[in-house]
Amino acid sequence: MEMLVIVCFIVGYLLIVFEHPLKLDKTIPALLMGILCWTFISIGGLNVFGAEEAGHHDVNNVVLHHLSSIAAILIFLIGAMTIVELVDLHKGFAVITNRIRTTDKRKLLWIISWLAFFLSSVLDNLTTTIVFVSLLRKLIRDRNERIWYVSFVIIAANAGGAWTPIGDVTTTMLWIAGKVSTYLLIVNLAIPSVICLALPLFIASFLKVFQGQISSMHSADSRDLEREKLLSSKTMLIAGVGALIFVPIFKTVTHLPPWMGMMLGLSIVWLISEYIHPEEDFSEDRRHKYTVRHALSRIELSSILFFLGILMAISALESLGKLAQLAAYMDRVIPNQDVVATVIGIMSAVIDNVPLVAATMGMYELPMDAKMWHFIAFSAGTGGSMLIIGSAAGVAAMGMEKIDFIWYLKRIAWLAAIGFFAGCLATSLIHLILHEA
Amino acid sequence: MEWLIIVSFVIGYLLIVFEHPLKLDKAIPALFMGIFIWSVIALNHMPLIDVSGDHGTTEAVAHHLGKITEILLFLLGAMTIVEVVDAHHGFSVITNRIRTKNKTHLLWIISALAFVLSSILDNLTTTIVLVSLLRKLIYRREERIWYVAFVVIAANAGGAWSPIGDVTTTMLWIAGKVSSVQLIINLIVPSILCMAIPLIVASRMKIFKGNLEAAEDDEGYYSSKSSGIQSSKIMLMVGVGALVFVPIFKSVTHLPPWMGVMFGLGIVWLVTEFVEPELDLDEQDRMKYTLRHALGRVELSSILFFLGILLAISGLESLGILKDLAVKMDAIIPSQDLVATLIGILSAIIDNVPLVAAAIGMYEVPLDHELWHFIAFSAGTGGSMLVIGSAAGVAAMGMEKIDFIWYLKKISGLAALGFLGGCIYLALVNYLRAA
Repeated sequence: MEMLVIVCFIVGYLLIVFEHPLKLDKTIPALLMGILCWTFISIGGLNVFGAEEAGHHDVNNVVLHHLSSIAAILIFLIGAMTIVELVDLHKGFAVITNRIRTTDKRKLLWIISWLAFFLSSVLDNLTTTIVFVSLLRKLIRDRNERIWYVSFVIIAANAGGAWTPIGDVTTTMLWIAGKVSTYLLIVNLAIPSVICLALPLFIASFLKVFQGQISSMHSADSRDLEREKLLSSKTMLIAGVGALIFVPIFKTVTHLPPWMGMMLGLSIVWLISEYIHPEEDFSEDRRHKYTVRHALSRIELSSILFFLGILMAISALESLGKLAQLAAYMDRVIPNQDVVATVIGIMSAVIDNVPLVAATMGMYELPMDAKMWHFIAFSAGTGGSMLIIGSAAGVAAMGMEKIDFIWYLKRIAWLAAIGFFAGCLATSLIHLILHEA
Repeated sequence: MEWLIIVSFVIGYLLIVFEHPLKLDKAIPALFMGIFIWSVIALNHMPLIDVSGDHGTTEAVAHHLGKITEILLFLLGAMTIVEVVDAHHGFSVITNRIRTKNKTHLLWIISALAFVLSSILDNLTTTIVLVSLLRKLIYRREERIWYVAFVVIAANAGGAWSPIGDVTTTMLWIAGKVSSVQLIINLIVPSILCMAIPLIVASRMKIFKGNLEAAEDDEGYYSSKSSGIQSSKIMLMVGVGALVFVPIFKSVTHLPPWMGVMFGLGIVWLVTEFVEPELDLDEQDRMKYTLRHALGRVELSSILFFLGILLAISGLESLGILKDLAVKMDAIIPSQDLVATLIGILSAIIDNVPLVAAAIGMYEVPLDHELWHFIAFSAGTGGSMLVIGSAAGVAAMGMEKIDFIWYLKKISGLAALGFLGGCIYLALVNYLRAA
């Protein structure tokens, strides 16, 4: 039966990896494999870690325990996605993006990149990318020029997400599971994350593409941008971002899990949205467009269900002790844990980083804020920049701008790699200075 | 500090009850109150009855979150499956078969159909499907709302006796308070009574005599779903199959019901990817039939409402407030049958989900105890007595603009007869068993 669980996981995982060529939504294999793995465990009467004896009563308790940890992540994500979606419905991000006025190419690159960096430390990387790609479409006419900027948005969004507990799914997972604390995470990873973006930016400033002025930006366009704002844009942006930043504060004060802070934030933002007026005298019909109900219908529930499936499958492997065995094996083959974490980062460019981080959490029994956890938060968050398909931000950009896999590999991958490896080195060094000197 | 928690629960609950006059989405006070209550518990390090120690609060929250998520995922899966079947016009396969013009016949057929459908689907969906059908069959609204009212009664009665038929019964099943077989054996008769008594009385009423006038064919949106498409039949079978499979999955694997629903959802999703709803579909039209589209139509706000309200009740439970309440109620009302009946009557006025959640926290009686069956019946059917008393009623009210007073005058009496008939039957069985 144990074989069956492993085979089921591998087959399911292959179906997920080949989602695009197979044209099969990855949520399907994820859900089926998550449930099937546990079904085999339950029917086969396998011994699971955490249960006192084999038997379905104890298996159910283990499942309940895992479900509770998974739900903490899923509800957090639903809350964050809804808040961001709502701010977007009220055109809240226009408040920020409307301020960009420069036409100097290099200057624009730096402004866009750092804005994306800081925005993605609060919002998820996917939203940051979508906001900035939409903005870039208005600023730069020429697509061949634009995709260079889009690529840097990807690098910046991934780098910016790594160093805050609310910036990225994988970092959030480590935070919710109690593997990292807000303060130490920021202290340890802020500098590597900055380096991970700054180094590629610095090199790119010397590239020919980023010299001179942007040719095709009309002043009429910027007036269009101005008009896009609504009466409620500013309030909703402040309320939404405030609710997200409030989450770590809520955790510190009450010691309650982050998803509760997120739900409290959502209920307050929801309340505000019920009383705000996005436009002067508007009808019931148009009002619907700006409601939380509308925002709720726009969030990607399928990715929530994907996470549910994949995390259930990994929890099955964890409960069987497979992940601990894998960790022991990796420790034997690769003696240095920094190298392991770097390898995880490189792997995350090829496969989804959520299962990767979930697996490492099941593999290693290390205390809170151990070096390994910070390293993984950094590498799994930024390693994906090295391939266009390596991160949610990259996939979104690919979809929006039809960026070619090979083009990205030739032009951008090396820049991202320099940033990634420099960041890894910095993480190692900072830890040395902070904790061992 | 306990008073602060009780006060915030009462205020939050009042805001939920007065959702419509206040024009405030009930998920807002529910979520806020749920988090607020636990924040007060955590900040004051209040002692909890189910855990102890330093990490007590976090542990208790994690435990409750697991339990609550089991319900939420079950609902999410079931709602999505029903949405996708509806997107493929699956229910037209059933409703297209109705051909009778005799009013009394039609009443019985529609009611029986609602009863059977709602034992598998949730009551809300059943009501929406059948009200859409009635709009096509009966032209005159004054006549139609009588039938709609009976759909509400039948949907609520049909949901009570099956573990997948209704939120409250499902909650009792997931929490391990009732088992599928015992539930069905004990409740099938009172549920049928609950529908049949009002039907028998109504069959003698003047309004259900004679034949129907011919209905007009074209009624816009609602008739659009009446015509089946290529995939209607297969999606209906797969969807209903997936839902019926859930109790089977549980008895074979002994895993919790939500996993069965998610497995079923995976299979249904797989089928939707390969099924051809119409000949030569372009990408745009294809979207309408995908599961992703159905997911966007699921009412997430009601899932969040449940999250908030169940969290709040779990706070009261962990503090021992519900136990104290149960002890007090037992002291005042000597018979538990009477308590369960009262819960049913209360459920006509307030939401039955928190009511049942509270009852689960209040009583420490074993699996398949008669009290659980009684609560499953009464909380499921008591809501028929007012049009605002159940999700089915509220949906019907929204779709047909049924007046609160009209329902109270014409239907409430009939619904009460059925409800009390079922309760008396259950009490009698309990009495005979004890004797």
